[in-house]
Amino acid sequence: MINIITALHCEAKPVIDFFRLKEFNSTNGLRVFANDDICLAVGGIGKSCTIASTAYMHGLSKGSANTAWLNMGIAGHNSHALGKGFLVNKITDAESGQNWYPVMPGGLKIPSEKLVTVTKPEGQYPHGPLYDMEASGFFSTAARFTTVELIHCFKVVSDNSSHPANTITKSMVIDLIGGQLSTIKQVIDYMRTLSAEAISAGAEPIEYRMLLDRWNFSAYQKHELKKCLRRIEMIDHIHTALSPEILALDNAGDVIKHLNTLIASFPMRISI
Amino acid sequence: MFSSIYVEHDIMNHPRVSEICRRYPNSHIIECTHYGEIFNRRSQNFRLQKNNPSLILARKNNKRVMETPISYGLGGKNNFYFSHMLNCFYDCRYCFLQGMYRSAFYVLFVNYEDFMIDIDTAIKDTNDECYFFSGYDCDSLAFEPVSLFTESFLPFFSRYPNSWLELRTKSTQIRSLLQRDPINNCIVAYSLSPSIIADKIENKAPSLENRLAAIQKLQMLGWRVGLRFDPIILVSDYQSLYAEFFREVFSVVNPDTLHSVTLGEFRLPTAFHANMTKLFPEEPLFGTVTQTSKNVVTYSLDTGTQLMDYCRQLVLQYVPESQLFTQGSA
Repeated sequence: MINIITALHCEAKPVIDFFRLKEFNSTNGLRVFANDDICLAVGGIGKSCTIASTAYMHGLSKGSANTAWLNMGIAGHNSHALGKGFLVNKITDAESGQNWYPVMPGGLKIPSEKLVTVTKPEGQYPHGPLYDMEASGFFSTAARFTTVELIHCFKVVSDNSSHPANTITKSMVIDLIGGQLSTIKQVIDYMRTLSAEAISAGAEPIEYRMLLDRWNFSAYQKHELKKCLRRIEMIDHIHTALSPEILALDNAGDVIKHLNTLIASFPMRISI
Repeated sequence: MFSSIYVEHDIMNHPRVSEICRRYPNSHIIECTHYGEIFNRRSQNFRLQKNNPSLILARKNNKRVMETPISYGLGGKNNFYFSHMLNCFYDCRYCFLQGMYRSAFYVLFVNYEDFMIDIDTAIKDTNDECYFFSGYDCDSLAFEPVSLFTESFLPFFSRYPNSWLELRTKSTQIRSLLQRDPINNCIVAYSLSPSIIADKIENKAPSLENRLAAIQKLQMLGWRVGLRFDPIILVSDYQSLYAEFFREVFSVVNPDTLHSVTLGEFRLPTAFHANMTKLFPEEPLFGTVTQTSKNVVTYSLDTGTQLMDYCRQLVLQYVPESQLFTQGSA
């Protein structure tokens, strides 16, 4: 699953159209579009709007720690040409001076640039970074919900010292983002793959839910149950925890005792 | 090779940094304040990062030379380790680094001269034979063409004939050693496992065959070599596997320039084991060990004792007891 956070509908439109996202669950000030595995929020300009929409989307995705996150939108730069797209490799918050470092993907030949998040539109474009108003709020919030490898910012240059921010129009933004759709798709495909890898590594043991449904486990017992089932899966791929003996047990405590006895009976060596 | 190279602001103009960045013209060079901003941050996935690690160039400001744990040594009284690099190019599934560090990025500390000052101080303070182990947090040789670690540290250690430098490695990057005269107080210590184990769980590392070939080349030129059978892994039919393995190794290794042999059973600090199990829940290796003391996960006492006694008896067929050391808890 990928969550995409944008500030403006004109930034989102090309992606909404390309991936055929349908609007749903929109609230006051926050529009949400989705298909089976992409969810996109248009949350408004600025850090506080971005923080709110990121947190909202985390709730919508049921708090999954393996969801990938993408902040996509426009940014200014001193000299880069309009329409050029960049993955952000360093985010600095102009207010606090704090830095975040997205993990640059290997194998994707996409230009990258550092970025500064400002509270007001940057009119002077001091040399070096891109300028936006959302990335630091987005990244700092998303990093509470997932690991940094699954969080990226992709920005398309919409204004520079020759074409300042007051020349930007909605249709221009749609065209600029639309011009980078193939790159955006590359980024999304990459993040999908990474998210899937994270999900498969963190998957629950196969019988976990079945056992939870059958007996009442305390929070501690759930933790122990997962450990036992993981151990059984690790050591003996053939063996199943769902035996007639276990199904005949009365309570969660007996189940965990039984599983520990089972584990102790396995020859503790790997087969090569 | 690296999509990104992070460089601490204060060392942007360091000669080693300039040289390394020159070697990777296609890498994004990203300035940071301190390597910990990236290396130590929360919410990282070691496993995902290991697919495509970046490089961080930094300065090590303190704790450059540390005393080793009590059970770690080669018979000397004064044992130290120093880490010019964090994380390893290889991806051995048993390695504690994946449980210890949040990040899989490589950190190279470029201020070698500061390490040398601290090593000099440690030697003068002890006024006795010292051992310095360099491969604790990384493979000592795998990054040599870029780090030029031995090019710097071998001439340095040649000035201290009463102190030893151990290079711990699985690497075949030995050109820098083959191109210079050996120094008497350097041990090139190879970590070795049976082929069938190496192929399965020592990902990206050179094959046993290639490591043995490297050992032969080094010994022919007079380098002191160490053999590190660590970790010993409990597998089905380990008796015949390890008997054949030791026979193979000792048929190649010249006992005349063999410095030492160490044996160590598979063991991990408890917290590291927990982290590694979360990263690799499907890995059977992590399911074979159990909590044996407050801080260590290893084979159960009987199993471990049987395994190590057996391997010890095998190795003693080839080397005298004075050259054999057992490494304890990690």
